[in-house]
Amino acid sequence: MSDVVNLMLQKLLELITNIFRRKRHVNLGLYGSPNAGKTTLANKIAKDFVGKEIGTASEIPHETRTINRLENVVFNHNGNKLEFTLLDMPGISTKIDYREFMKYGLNKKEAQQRAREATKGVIEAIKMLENVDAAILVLDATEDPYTEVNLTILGNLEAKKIPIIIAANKIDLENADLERVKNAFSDYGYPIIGISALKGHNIDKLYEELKKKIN
Amino acid sequence: MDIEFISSKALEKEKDKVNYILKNLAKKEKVLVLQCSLTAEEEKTLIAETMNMIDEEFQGIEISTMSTQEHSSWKKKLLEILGVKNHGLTIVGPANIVKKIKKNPEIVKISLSD
Repeated sequence: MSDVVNLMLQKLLELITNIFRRKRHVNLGLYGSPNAGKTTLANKIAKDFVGKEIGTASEIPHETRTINRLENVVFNHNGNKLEFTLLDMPGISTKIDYREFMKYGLNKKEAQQRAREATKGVIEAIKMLENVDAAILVLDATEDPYTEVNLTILGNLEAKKIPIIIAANKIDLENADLERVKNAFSDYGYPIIGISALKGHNIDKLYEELKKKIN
Repeated sequence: MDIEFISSKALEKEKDKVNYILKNLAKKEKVLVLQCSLTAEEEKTLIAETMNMIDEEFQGIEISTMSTQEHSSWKKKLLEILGVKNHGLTIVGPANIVKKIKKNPEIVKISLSD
């Protein structure tokens, strides 16, 4: 009889542990337009918590053409522990012209191949909008933030009630304009943090906000 | 290049706005101005469908939606209760013709390719 009770207690404990684990494990997606600095930010997060980089950043648009996935990232910040899968998404855009890639020195064949892969990457990133548990919208603070792509990303995440943080990246650059980003999205009520993923500026603030949002 | 204005009445007949836009836009030299805004879901589908159609001739689209929708959830709910419809405006054109659409958000500026 006691064996049955012990077994039942063990099963109950496993069930509670699994529920707890499920709640503490999240898919964190990094979304944004091409060249916003998503991979640079993903690399910064990955280096901070896992000690290795997740992908290759490049000045050529659509460098990330498949989702870079890093599992079992243990977020341990100021005494808070959280396990998540980091998803560095391909940049979302409404147009892709292979001729643009040729301006960066790629030959026609390479550029066309890159364009084909980039279109698939955009679709993959769009499909994953439904499967993330939290998201960081990465914007280039030197560019106009009020783009249809950013609004589409936000609108779809908001519809699924997915927690969102806006990271206005590249604030280390002279022409960055954090106020413009804040003004553009002031009605939305999301936390907006000016960061430099490359230099590490304000990354702690981003982690603090992430902790609040995910918890 | 033509600019085609499509009334909300004409769009009411269309079950699939995304399909309607792509059918009337891809590989054609015209800009569509629709008397309706697209939902985030429709925009997402439009982007994905556009990606599937990209080739040497068709490089994608430029799009901007002006919505009368409120972002604040309580205002949104109040407007829904009051029966206020979100008509808005959608401007969409092929990327080889429309270089950029800039929104600020009350004013939309369209720059055409040279």
